[in-house]
Parts: sequence; structure tokens; C-alpha cells
Amino acid sequence: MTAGVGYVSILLALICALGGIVAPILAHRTGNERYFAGARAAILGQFVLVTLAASALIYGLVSTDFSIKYVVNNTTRATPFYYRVTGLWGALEGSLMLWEWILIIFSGLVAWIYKDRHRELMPWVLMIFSIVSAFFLLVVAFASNPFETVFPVPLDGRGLNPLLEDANMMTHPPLLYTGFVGLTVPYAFAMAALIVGKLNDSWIVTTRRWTITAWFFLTLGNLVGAYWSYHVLGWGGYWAWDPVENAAFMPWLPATAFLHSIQVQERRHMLKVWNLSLIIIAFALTIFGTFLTRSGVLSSIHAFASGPVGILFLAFLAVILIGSFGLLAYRADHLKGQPQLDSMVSRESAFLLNNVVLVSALFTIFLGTIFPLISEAVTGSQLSVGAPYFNWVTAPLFLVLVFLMGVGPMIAWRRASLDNLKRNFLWPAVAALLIAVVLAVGWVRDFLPLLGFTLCAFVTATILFDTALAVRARRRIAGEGVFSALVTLARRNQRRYGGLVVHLGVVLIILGIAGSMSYSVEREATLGQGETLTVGPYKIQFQGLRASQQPTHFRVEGAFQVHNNGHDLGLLTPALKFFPGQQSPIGRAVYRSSFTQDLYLILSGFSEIEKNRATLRLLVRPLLAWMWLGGFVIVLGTLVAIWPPKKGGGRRDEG
Amino acid sequence: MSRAKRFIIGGLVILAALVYLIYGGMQEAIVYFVTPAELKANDAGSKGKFLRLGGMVVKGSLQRDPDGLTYRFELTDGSAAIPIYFRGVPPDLFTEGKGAVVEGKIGDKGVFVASAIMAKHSEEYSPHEQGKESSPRSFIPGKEKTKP
Amino acid sequence: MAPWRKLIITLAAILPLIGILAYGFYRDPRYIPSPMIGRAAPPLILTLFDGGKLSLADLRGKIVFLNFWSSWCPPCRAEAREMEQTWQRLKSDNVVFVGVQIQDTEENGRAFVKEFNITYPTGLDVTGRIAIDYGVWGIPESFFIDASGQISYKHVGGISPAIITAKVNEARQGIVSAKEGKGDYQSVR
Repeated sequence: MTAGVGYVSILLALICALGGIVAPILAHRTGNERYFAGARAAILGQFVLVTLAASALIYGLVSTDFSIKYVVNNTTRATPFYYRVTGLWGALEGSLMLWEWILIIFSGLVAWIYKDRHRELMPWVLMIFSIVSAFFLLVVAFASNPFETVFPVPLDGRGLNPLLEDANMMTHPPLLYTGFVGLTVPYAFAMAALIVGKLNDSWIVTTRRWTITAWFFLTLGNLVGAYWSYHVLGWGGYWAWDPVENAAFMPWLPATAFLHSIQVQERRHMLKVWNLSLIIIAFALTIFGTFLTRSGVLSSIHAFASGPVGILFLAFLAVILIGSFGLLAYRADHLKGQPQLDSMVSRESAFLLNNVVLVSALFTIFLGTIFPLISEAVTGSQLSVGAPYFNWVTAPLFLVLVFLMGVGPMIAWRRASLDNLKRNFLWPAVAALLIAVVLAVGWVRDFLPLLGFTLCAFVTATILFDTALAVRARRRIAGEGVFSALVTLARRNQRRYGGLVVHLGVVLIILGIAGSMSYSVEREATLGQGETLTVGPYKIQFQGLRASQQPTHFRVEGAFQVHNNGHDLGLLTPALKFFPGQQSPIGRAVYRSSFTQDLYLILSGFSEIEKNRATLRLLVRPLLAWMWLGGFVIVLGTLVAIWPPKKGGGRRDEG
Repeated sequence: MSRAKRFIIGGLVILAALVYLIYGGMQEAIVYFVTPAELKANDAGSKGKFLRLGGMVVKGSLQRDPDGLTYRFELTDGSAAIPIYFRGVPPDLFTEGKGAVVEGKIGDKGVFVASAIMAKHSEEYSPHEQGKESSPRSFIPGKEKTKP
Repeated sequence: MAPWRKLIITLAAILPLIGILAYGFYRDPRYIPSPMIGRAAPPLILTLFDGGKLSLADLRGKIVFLNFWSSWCPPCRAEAREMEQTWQRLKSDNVVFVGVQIQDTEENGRAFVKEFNITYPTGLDVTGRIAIDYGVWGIPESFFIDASGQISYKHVGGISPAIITAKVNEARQGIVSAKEGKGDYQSVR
């Protein structure tokens, strides 16, 4: 019953989507404006039907309707309520359903918000949404159907992968999908503008907010993914440069580039073709990511099962790339007449360089990800590209980026005078150099981390210095206090100050990465009961093994009494969990976090339980906590940037 | 110098830096996949290269040193067997008679010195995510420097 | 530049990329050839659910279809009924089906046997030794052993009655497959 409702809704939604594709074309051919209304109705219809289908699947999961194969594979009677709901994105069929649902919610929002604006563009915008939605509905209906039924109905389900039973897992995929789907909005506007041939700047201003929103969810999705990896997977790292992780990260790069270069287009009407290309690439990468995850063409530790879904996504990717770039090439004449750069020392060129670096990073990561395929196709030799490649290639690029993060927001447009440079950068540069000297004398001896920390200090100094100058000016003019001056400044120019706060957040993340990459300590030892391991300031005493039968699994934990410089940190108990039906135990690492460093303990093996010997892996990861803090700062900054401006006050971002 | 020329030169410099980065990175991180038979056949040519070797752990060959962290075993593809030396903690799925993939370099006397063992686990039936802790090739910051 | 020229350049940039990605479907990045096929089947002694003991050595001269399964594995459930039917068709023909339950409890195993009315000899691999000897990586996996005790074919994943019948006949004729087969089962993860 539930399955029937869901499946029929999907089929009907597919019909709506096809209608939504045809309507604007008919309107264009016949000149009958009424067909345009059809495009809106089609979106509304899909919204209702897909919501119904998604609700049916959630209902099936919550009520453990084991006549649905998907429910069997993702829940058991014992599964708690919230993990039943998260079962929606526990596997391929459901996550595609969720993707489609988010997509159609975004489409509905766009249709509703711009019902009286962009009259010429909107039908085509909605058509693009319907095309993307039709593709996903097609996949859900015919290639990866979450409503497939089983007969005879089993008594109990198989259950969610135990690793997915984690609170972060509830947030990670929906955040990423929201980020991915959010990028469809600028793409739809870009395509509509190309179709209509109206390539003035108003649409691009409209898409900025949407791109920031998508960017925000992408950033959070990746950070939460990294946190999940660190917190749950128990291998001590947070990023493995695995193809699937790269797939989630890659769209972030052109999206970030676009957010910067769009400002150049707004101000100087330059880089039109470039910006359109960035949008197309960002959107295509979201589809590419799904292709990579679902096709099994690359070996990944996250790989989902293969099947026809991969081929469909590849075909869709081909259509998108050829269609979009073909259209762009066809319209390129409309995009000419761009003014040139006035000077190499200007904000335009800083942003341009920022774009070049981001796209270079994208290219290198993309190349490294698919290189095993290229190599096997061309020379026939199987190989893999390891994490060191990605670290080596991206580290310098990201360092340049950090430097530009300090320069870009402060340098003048068009042509920076020597005076401008001196005023904005002299003192921050001096401050950063002082910090560099202190660090070098103190403890940082290696070049790359020293450079990283110095650049982080430089960016922070430029931001603080610039804000301090502005606050001083306001106090002088309006006689405000420091705090109210800050609020007024942020309110007056939300985009700028929001952006600066986001930059501070990125600095914190870079700090965490630089610290944990360069100065991690890793130690492995087998300890008998009562024996002590000393690593740096930490003293770890092994107290013995404990075994227990848990409701869902058998658990062996090692108890370790931990002291930091004589200061008692309590008993840490990393564990190994043995699930029936799983081939290998799942490690449960534990860690103690502080602002200077994390202590991370992994139980990697043990003797028979009576013998009480355990092999412990210990990691000390400096500054890692700053990474997660940086995430919160980014949330704050984004909120400042997109907070609805006061009526009448502030500047209107919307076109 | 004209503006266009300056741009071209700037672009070339950036391109050269990029090519250098990619080339250098690849030298460092490319891992070739070989079978024990292929390795036997091309012993000399494989020296110094970072390799990934896949096969079955020969039954009865697995020895664990008293320190509990050093393992010696042989890996076979049915036609040739390669002795392996490994120091560290192998993944949970690692046992005799099962498939395993090791990463490392061929050392003296034809012994393959593995820096990581990745046990093969079922491809289609068990969730792949669980493989994370059994894939030490993953990037653990700070560790990549110690790789041979 | 004429528009069609630009289109050609666009295509020239995109098509090789798509081609490379499509090439990915023709290879399996995780494939390691199995050294089991063409070898003597490792000895096997299994305590059956009906209390009896089964030894592979006693089955010399018969064709053995050895199936590793588990009660929690969806493809095993999916194929159980048909496998029993295939057994009913083939059992008078000097063929023995053996089910080895792995990574599971005996209680679940008995319930499974009852649910699907399985009549061929089946038992639990308590220590996991049999699965290790046969290098089983996933569930289900099936082995075909010919009259001389040699493994003639290995199948990974769900298996259809048609394949079972065909491979039993090949084993009878002494044909050894060159490669292991793969089931059409698609996992949910």
C-alpha cells in the first residue's frame, strides 16, 4: 500500500516534469503566454507528488513496513525512531529520493520567490529544474526504485550499517545534498539567460544569494563529514582524499571561485564567460560526484553498489556538459566587449588570481582522482594515486589562497596606489612577521607550517586592522561605542563583513589542518595490564580489558588511565565492537580534545580477554579542535552575509 | 612589453608551476598494482617503486614476532609467492588463506617490505564504510613523511 | 570563429573525458584473480543441522555444489527457494548440494532452513575454518567441485538455477571455468 502510493506518485511526478519541459517550448513556439503558467504548475505538481512519495518512504521506514525491500535493508524492529528516519539516506535508492526531494523543494522556492520577477527568464529556469528533476525521477522510477517490494514479507529487517548509526550521520548527507542541489539554482538561471540570450547582469546578482547558501551547505557538509570520519571511523584522520571525498569537495572549489569572480562581474562587467563556465562546472561536478559514488568505476572505501545508475549518471553528465558548453559557445558573441584589467595590483587581479588558484586546485584534484582510469585506459597499468599526491599538490595552492584572502578584501579596485597598499597592509604585515619570528624562535622549525601560520596571522591581522580603522572612524563620526559601531558596520555592508568573518573561519580551519598535518605524533604499542606508555606530556596506563554483550553487538573495551602532565584526564575506553553479520569488528576510538592538541586512542587489537594484553594506537594531533571551531565561525559569517537587510536600509542585493 | 604578452607570460609561469606540482606529486604518490607473478618476473625493474601487491596469504606462512607488531608471511597468486615483512597492526580481516593487498617496496633479498596491509573484504555484500579502519593507506596527517 | 567550430572544440574537450569515465565500466578496480579454481577443493567436515556429519572426502565421484550463505544476507534469501527447487531437480543425478552457513548463529540457521524448506545437507561453520579455507570474502559464494575433487567453478554473489545447472553439467564433463563468475545481485549499499 505504502509502496504503491510512493511509486505512483513518482510516476505522476515524472509526467509533471515532462510537462514542465514541454510547456515553455510550446509557449515559445506558439507565442501563447498561457503555457508559461504550465511550467509553474508542473513544478508545483512535482513538489506535491515528490513530497508525498518521500513521506511514504519515511512512513514505510518508521512503521517498519517490511514488504518494501528498502525498508528491510535499512531497518530492523529494534532500530530506534530517529535511525529509522535516517534510513531514508542510508542507501542508494533512498538517498536519490532525498536528492530529488530537496531539488524540488529548491525549485518550488525559486518559483514562489520570483513569481513576479525575471518574467522573461523564469519559464526557462523552471524548465531546467524540470529537466534535472525528470532525470532523477527517471532514475528513481526505473533504475533504483526505493519502493520495490519483497515477497514473502520477512519477519525482520537487516538493519542500517552500524557505522551510520551516529548523530553526525543524520546531518552529513542531507547537508551535502542540499549543497549539491543548491548549485542547481545558479545553473538553471545561467542556462535560462543563455537560452533567452539576455546576458545582462541582473540574473547573476539574483543567483549570488543562492550560491552562498549552496556554498554554505557544501562547506558544512564536508566539515561534518570530516568530523564524522574523525569521530566515528576511528582511524585518527579526517580526510583521506578518497575519490568519494574528492567528489564531495570538488564542487566547492568552482562555487568558491564563482562567489569571488561574480563580484568582479558586478563591479566591472568582466569575466562573463568565465563565470558562466564556473557555474556549469560546479553543477556538472555534483552530477559527476554522484556518478563516481554510484558507478564503482574507481576503488573507494565508501563505494556504494554499482549498477545501471552509474551509466545513467554518466549519460546525464555528458548531456549537461555538451548542452551547456555548446550553448555557451553558441552565445559567446553576446558576451564580448569586456573591459580589461587596468593594473596587476588591484582587487580584480587578486580575485582573478584567486580564481586561477581555485581552478588549478580543482584540476589537480580531478586529475588525481581519475588518473587510475586514464592510466589503465592508455597504458594498461593499474595504479592508484595516494594521499601524498593530493597533499603535495594542494598545500602550496591553498597557501597562495590564504595569502590572497588577506590581500583581496582590502586592496583597491582598478589600480591600487602605493598609499593604499601602505595603509592597508603595512601594519598587518609587520604583525604577521613578528609572529613568524616568535614562532620560528619558539617551536616551528619547518618551512611549510611556518609559512602557513604566518599567512594565517597575516589574514587575521588585515581583517582586525581594517575593522578597527572602520570602527574608529564611526566612533569619530557618530560617537558610537565599539560594539554598536561594529553592528552598524556589519548592517551597512553585510556582504563584506559576513565575508570577512567567513575568512576568519577558514583561517581557523587552515590552522587546524596545518597543525595536525605537520606535528602529529603516532605511536603503537602492546601493553600488559598495569604497564604505562609515555608520549610527550601524556602518560597512559593500561587498566585491563572488559567484555560485554550489548543489545546489538559484542563489545571489548580497553581501559586506559590518562594523565597529561600529572593532570588526571580520567579513564579512556576505546573499544572494538563485533556485530553479528559483519565480517570485521568496528573500532570505537576515543579522544580528548583541547585547544592545543587532541589525544586520540584506538584499540587495535587484544589477546584473549583473560590474558589482558592490548595493542593501542595513539595519536596526538595538535590544533585540530580549531578546525571544528572554524566551522562555527563560518556559520556565523554566512548568517551575517545573508541576513535579510533592514527595510529601506542597507543595500539591496536582489535584482 | 605589451599587455597581452604579459598575460601570456603570467599564464605560462602558472602553468609551469602547476605541471611541476602535478609531476612531483605523482612521482611521490603513484602506487602501481602488481601480482606476485609479475613482481617475480620483473624483480630488478620494480626496485625502488612503490607497489601494491595483491594475492592470497599462503597458509602456514604467517609468523608473528614476540613483540606482537612484526609479521612475516607470503603472498601468492597461485604461480609465484613473495615473502612479505610488515611492522604494524594489520586490519581485522587479515588472516591466512584470505585475500590481502599490501603496499610497500621490494627490499633486499627479494623481501617485500610492506608499509600497509589492506585486507580484501567482500565487495558487494558488506557495507564498504566499515573498510575505513582497515585501509591504513588513508591519509593520516604526519604519517606520510615516514612512508619509505 | 564560426559557432560550429566552437561546438566542435567543445565536443573535442568533453567527449574524451566522458570516454575515459565510460571506460571505467569495463574494469573492476577491486578485482584480484581467485587462485581457487582448478585446485583441489580443501577438505571439509561439516556438522549438519540434523546432527549428522558430512565429509567432502566421502563425496568423491559426485558433483558437489557448495553454497556459503547466511540468514541475514538478502541475496541468500532471494535465491533460497529456487536453490531448493534446483536441488529437487538434480539430486537423482549424482549431484550433492551442501549449504555452509557462515557468520551467523545456529538458531537463525535452523529458522532459515525451516522457512525455505531446505532439504539438502546444511550446517553451520562454527569456527569459520571452512570459509577461511575456501577464501570466502562475501556472502553468498558458491563452489562447484567435480568428481575428482577439483574446484571447477566459483561464483560470487547470487546465483541462478540456470547457472547452477549449466556449471554442474560442465563439472560432469570435466570442464574447468577460466574465471570466477559474478552474481547479478545488486547490493543496497
